[in-house]
Amino acid sequence: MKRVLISGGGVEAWMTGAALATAGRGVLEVQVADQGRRPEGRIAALPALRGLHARLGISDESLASEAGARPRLGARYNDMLEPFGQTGAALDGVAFHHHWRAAGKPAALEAWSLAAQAASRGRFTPGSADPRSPLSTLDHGLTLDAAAYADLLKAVALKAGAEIAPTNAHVEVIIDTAATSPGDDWIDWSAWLSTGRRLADDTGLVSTFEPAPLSAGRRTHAVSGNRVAIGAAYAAFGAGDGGDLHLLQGAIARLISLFPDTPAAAAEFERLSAASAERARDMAILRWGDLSAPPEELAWKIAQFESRGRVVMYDEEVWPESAFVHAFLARGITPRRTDPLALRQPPERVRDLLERMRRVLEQTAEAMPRA
Amino acid sequence: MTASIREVLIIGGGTAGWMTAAALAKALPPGVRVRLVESEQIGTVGVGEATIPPINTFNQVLGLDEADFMRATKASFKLAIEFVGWMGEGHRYLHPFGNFGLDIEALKFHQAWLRALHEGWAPPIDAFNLSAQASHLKRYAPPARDPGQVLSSLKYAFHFDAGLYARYLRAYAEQRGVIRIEGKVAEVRQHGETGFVTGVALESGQALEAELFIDCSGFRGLLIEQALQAGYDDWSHWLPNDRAVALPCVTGGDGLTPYTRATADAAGWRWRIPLQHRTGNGYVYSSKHISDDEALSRLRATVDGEPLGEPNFLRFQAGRRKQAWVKNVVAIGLSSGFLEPLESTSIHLIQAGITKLLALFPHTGFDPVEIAEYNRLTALQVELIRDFIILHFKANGRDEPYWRDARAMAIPQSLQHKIELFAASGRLFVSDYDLFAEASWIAVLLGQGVVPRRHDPLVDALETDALKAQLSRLAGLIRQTAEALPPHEAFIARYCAARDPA
Repeated sequence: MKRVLISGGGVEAWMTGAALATAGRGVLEVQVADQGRRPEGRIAALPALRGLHARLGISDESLASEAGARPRLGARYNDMLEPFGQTGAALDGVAFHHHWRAAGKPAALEAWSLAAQAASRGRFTPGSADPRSPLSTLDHGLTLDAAAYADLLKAVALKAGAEIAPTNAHVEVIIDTAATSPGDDWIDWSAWLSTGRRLADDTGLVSTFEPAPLSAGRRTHAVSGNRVAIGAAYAAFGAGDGGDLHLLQGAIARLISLFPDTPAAAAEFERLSAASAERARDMAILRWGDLSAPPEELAWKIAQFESRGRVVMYDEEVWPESAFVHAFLARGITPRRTDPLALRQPPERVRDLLERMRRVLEQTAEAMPRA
Repeated sequence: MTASIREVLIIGGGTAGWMTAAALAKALPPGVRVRLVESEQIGTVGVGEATIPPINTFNQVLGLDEADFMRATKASFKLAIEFVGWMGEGHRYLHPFGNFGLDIEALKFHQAWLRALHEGWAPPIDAFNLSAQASHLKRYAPPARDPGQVLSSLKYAFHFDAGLYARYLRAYAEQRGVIRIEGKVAEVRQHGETGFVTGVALESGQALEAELFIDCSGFRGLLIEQALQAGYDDWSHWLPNDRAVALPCVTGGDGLTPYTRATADAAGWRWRIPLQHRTGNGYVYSSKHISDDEALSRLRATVDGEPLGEPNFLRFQAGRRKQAWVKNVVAIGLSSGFLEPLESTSIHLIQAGITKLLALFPHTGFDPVEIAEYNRLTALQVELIRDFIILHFKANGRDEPYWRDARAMAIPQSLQHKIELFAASGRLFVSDYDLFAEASWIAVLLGQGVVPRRHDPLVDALETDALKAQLSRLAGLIRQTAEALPPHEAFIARYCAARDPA
């Protein structure tokens, strides 16, 4: 049995504890040093977090009753809605937004998002796994009461065998989840990200965010000696829109598949941690950062989108392609020209097709119950 | 500056030229004229007659009817590659298409299998792959669509006659408006200031102009290298094979196997690719280690049927064109680089080039940002495939000088890291850009003797009896599913027998 100490507190520490104790039952001895203040207020989570809940056996009902979970269908940045789920459908292997441009943008892009249609009507239902249903394009995130959610994760962790660490615990590996601050071992991102974002309003189906203080950057090393820094202990990019938790979730999955306990594994853990933190950083910059001199990979991504609406997806990307399309458009980054492959069909036909798609989505949204 | 392209000229036919012509005819908007110039006097290299599963996507995009295409190209199904002798005489393993087993929650299947291996009770890993089991039994049926059925895990590609495939796609392209011009290019004309290619003159004196040129002229790279000097990255220090001799034969040996065979030999390796009407054979070798005569006599001694026709010798140099797209010329096929056909990647690289060309199809302004993206993606994809191929040579278990040299060679650092990480604990992280997914790397790493010293400690948490029962049930299901399939040869006879068998 390997002894692991998770340092930090609140949602981050107990999420890590619950996931490691569940996956490592019988082989990992998980202890959590629950330090720090009890979390306050509400937090936002992305759709992907629901996958973790499923693995931990946390039902939607218990999230709602015990952690005050409420569904959300998107986020608003710079007065532009970024809905979850799919926007439109690819035609002939060409992404939807190319056809939307080729058809002369008959309406705002989110008219082809079921999440946006439902949100504007104040209606909600969970998506469907049946690929034939329009509901399969719908996805939703959550907002949660932070303290109650931490308690729920703590109960799951303890049930899976995690323990509250005694003082002076003797352990082999320390996993650090507590928010970090700039030190010697630091790569500074503050030129691109002078502030972060935190939840401002989540009373409706679309959450809004407000600026929050931030010292953006990441540690040079995720692994040093027997300490492994994950989530906010490793990188700070101020994504209170669910991005922070999402990066943590990815790091937990990486810990489970690649425990950095040999030099080769540690090197690979470092490489993957750096890449995913930088991809998440790029999206944060694109949404609320300074775009005057972006990091090289983001600059390349912007140049590609500007030329013809192509979305470059690197390894360890944290956001899906359609999130980038909305984010580019929200920052006023638009393609100079239309993808020629979208011009194969006559524009009237594409307009008809788009109109039919839109009507199906509107009808589907109308048929949902009120949230 | 940003007007649409109206004129495309493809230089060279063959597999690359006609695959490109067919795809452009299908995907481009109306009003773009596509012409292809080729000469009956110039032979084409029948690049690899074995393919990998993404070829299905290409055929589906074109809307080809599978049985019709297989009849026309005298094709058979391919489920795997069998590697013989790479770890020494008598050793063999399969690199099958598709995955091994099913992940257990967040745990990788191969980690559970490694635990069984370390505890001494593991069946061979290919017991958990349907394509492998069907290969052993020489059986085939189309995969099920319902993902709940074991039969949905069968993944396949084809063995076909590349010359017939090119002919089939030529008919397809010509029906859709592509114009074929017979002739040999005598001169390439370039713009005096920009260096852009403006046209070519044929030996007949005919001049052909276009806005976009696709160089499918083969190794020599008529436009991309001879006119535009793109340069070549030489990889022969990692992949020293520089010759091949091909000699088809009458079907013999174990007949119409639903897999390709790659057999290690003293100074390279030999392929065996079964088609409906003959078996394709060849020896890929290093001219530093064996003479052409010796290679041919070795090939003659090992083919498992009466040879058909004369042997065909090929020369090549492993590597890639430094820039596959320069100005208004895109190199697709052998003009963009060469990797030996050990993992059947030649036709795939043509397809990958076409896919990228369509995704980045230019306008007359030729945005440098898009050309750079094409070249970035090409470099990434080809280098990942290169690493995968180098692995087969680096991790060998043979004694001849050629193979000892391969074991001793320095390899790219990216590959070195991958081998070390896997050897330590069975962990593997494959790039999204890598054509070869995790299961392919696992098959070849294990097959070439890179067996992890440890497994993921988290799989130790699984209850031993339950794990044993689960693995044995899974292997049983896969075996039963494979046994219920019809023989490959019988399926071909019923589904797509070539009308003219000879």
